[in-house]
Amino acid sequence: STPSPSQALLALPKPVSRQRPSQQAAMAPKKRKSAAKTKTATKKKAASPKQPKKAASPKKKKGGALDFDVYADADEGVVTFEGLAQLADDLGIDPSSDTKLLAMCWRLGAEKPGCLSKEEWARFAENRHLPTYGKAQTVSVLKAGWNSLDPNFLDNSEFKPFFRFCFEFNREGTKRFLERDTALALLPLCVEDRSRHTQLFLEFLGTKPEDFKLNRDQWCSFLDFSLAVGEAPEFSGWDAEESSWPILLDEFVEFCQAKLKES
Amino acid sequence: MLSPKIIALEEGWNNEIKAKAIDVLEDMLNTGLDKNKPRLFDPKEYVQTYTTCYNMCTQRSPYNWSEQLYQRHGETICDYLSKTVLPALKQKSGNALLTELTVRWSNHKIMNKWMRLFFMYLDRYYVKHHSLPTLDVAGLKHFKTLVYNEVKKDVVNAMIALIDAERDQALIDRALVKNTVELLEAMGMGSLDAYVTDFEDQLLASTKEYYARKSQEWVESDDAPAYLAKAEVALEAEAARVAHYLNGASEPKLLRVCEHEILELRETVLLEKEGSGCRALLANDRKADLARMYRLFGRVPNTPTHGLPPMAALVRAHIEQMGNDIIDRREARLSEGAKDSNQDPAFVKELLALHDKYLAVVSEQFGGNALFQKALKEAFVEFANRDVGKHTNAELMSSFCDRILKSGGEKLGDEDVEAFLEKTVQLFSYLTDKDLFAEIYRNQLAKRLLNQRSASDDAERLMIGKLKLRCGSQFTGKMEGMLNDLAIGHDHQADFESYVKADSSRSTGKLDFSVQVLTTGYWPTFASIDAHLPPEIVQCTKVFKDYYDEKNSKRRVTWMWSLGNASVKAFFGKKAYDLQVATLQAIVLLTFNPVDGASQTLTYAQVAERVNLPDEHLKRVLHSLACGKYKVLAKTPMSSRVALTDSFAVNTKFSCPMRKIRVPMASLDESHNPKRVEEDRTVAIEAAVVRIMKARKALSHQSLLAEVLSQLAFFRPNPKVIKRRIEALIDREYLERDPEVANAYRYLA
Repeated sequence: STPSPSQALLALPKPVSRQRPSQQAAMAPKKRKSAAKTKTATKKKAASPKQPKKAASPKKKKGGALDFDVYADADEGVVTFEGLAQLADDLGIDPSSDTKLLAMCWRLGAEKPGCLSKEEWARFAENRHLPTYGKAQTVSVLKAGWNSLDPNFLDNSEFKPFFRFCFEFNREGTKRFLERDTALALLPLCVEDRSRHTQLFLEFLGTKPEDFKLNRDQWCSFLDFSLAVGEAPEFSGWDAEESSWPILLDEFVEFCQAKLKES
Repeated sequence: MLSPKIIALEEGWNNEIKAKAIDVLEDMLNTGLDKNKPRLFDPKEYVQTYTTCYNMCTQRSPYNWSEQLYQRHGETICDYLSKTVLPALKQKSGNALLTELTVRWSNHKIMNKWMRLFFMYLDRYYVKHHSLPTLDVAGLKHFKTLVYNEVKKDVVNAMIALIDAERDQALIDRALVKNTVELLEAMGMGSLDAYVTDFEDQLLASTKEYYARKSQEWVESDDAPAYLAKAEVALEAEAARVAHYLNGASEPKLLRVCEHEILELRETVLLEKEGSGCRALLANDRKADLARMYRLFGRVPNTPTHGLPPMAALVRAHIEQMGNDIIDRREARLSEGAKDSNQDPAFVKELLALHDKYLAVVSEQFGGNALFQKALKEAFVEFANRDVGKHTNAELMSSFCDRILKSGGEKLGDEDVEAFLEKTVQLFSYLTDKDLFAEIYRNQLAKRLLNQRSASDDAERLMIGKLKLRCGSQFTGKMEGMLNDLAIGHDHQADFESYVKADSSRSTGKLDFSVQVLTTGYWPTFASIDAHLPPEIVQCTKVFKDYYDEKNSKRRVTWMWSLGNASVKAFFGKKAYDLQVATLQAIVLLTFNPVDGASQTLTYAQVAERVNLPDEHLKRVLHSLACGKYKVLAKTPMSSRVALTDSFAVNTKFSCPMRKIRVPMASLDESHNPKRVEEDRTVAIEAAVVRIMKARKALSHQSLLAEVLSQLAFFRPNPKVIKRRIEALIDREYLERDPEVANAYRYLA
């Protein structure tokens, strides 16, 4: 089955050939340690499997220009997940675990899931949160300032819109939800240590059937919940009677309380 | 010429005023007044004294004796009071004291009057010029200071003793008390202060103590009704007492004290008394006692623990108990094996009777008081929604109406019909799931109407009218729509017939064809069957479709063959019969017409193929024709059930003494669709949420829930259900969670 574009950012073993029309292209992520942890010495592997690209694209060098045309899919006129994976490769980061890539797309103001338009790409020069602001539009500049994009620097009020973006960007096309497994992989990545509920919540989500869908309200509310409600099993700040949290989160609390009762 | 002679002070005083007026006056008072003499001093005597005084006061200084006369006026009175009056009083006690005081007071009034009259000139000028108390007031003050203040304690004690005696059924001299009260009132000098401070306060205290004691006795010895009867008597007596000889202002205070001691403090004990308290009275239909209890506790101010609210709470508990008993009995019947059908008229009648009974109690014994009406309502809401068995109370009530409105149902006169319907609507008003009732009622109404089993169109409209009155026109819109469809059906039919006649090409052949048009949406959804129709019928439908399309270009007609009737002329041998059957039955019968002169035997499968009816319908039809009372078809093998392997043929041996025969068919159990109710509710909740948010723009979660619940009139959803709908609306971007306020939402335009 064709993996969703959201899964492109997550670890997937097999490369899939590009189809059209679609945003379904998934890249085999190069095996790299996550960039947050190490700076990998990037060596161009001549034999590494690359996605078949569109013809007549100039060969890009690492440290080369951040050119839209270099990374965009000529047929679709946008940078797709493919291009992003290529950029990741050029930056020497692991797209399946480096949220700074998502932060980059967020700063560029990506509106459609899984792709960047030319206008959006142009904001590398315009958005002061990006390392390329006021500097040369090159991959090496981007790479040099890459850590500045770390979402950990954001305070909670700035983080909220980023967190929401993570949901929006990883949807499939016009769908308004994430599949269960996508959410299971994406959530911990995005929320990092801002939530003390993550582990239990993932366990809870795991009990849901495979076709369970997580909607935006539930995703965003998870963050709000994490910031407002205390740790299990007390969950101080959550009131059974007056809770206006999405029902999913009420069920989550009940799940935890039941679980802790058993033990 | 004589110039007026100057009167010297002592001379004037001693010779004229004292000797001829004051001494005389005092003497008269001391010896007792002659009743035959209306006036103590005749005018001549009086004028003389008056003139003397006048002269003495108008003489030129240093002979103006105004000041002295004024002083001596006072001294005279004081003298008399302290030397004569007070000692006389001090000798007496109890009733004798009161009697003496009455006399002395009366005397003083007379004395005061005459002294004022004698010295009246002083009042005119001297008093005013020197801003002194008037003679009258001065005299009164002297009495108060010298007499009243000295004896008031004993006097008041004596009065209270009398009152207490009267409370204990002794006969007392009421006039005595009344007169003393009058004195007390006068001692206030324009206000009731003396009365209140010196007497009333003590009266209230002693009353309190008296009734505290009495009520304790009664509580120990009497049951609640007997106590209350005594209480009522006591309260009436106290009110009468005030009217007879106390000052009116005392009444509310006195009664309050009594009510407090007799009723308020004992209320809880009385209401809950084993065997005779409120609930016992209700259980035993003690109407008069209940009415008295209501009257009396109505006098006590309402708080959660006193006055009428606790009584109302007990009434509510009692009715709830009675109602729950009825439900319990039904539950027991069902568990003991009674049939769990959608009808239980005996049960519904029990509930109606209970309601009637306590409606009457509330209106007659409790004066229609709002607290008790509320108690009745809340009690009914508690158990009326307690469903036992497979069928909800809503359904049982609807079926009850169905029985009444159906022809061949319960036989009732018009008034009884109306009464039952009215009462059922009252009971209905306690249901939380009113929309469920509406759905069931609508289905049953449709059945009645389409099968022509409605006893009376008027009765149907009557019932719908009552529901409309209670719930609004939105509630009954569909029901009315159904009735209207039928009402205009006749006109349409006439119109169709004239259309047919107008042109010979529009022919319905030999068939007498009439069509009833139903407006989709008003009627329940019926299964649409794509039956293969005999050509004669097909022809008719074509003609009607042309007619209808001409009249209504934008409407689409779908034929419902599962409804409708036909009259089939059947020849068995030489005899002809008129078979009254359903349309489906007619279709099946016609397939058995001889083909090329030969009669047919058809298997089930063949029949099914020819008429194209689904099994659930075909089986029913064949069963009615071959296994019922009138076996117009012969089934092979003969049995009471239709199997897919059976074969059928016309029953040549069929005969019946009657010519016109109705061949009934079991109808499909088209009960209401619970899913439909669920869907409607989802829509209703979402519509309410959007409406509210649109108006309020931003609202907290709790407020939104409360508003939604208050707007939904016909059912009461769980808050969780509402929350689910809110989430759905967030997903569809009708509203959002307020980014600035926790637990709140904002409307998205």
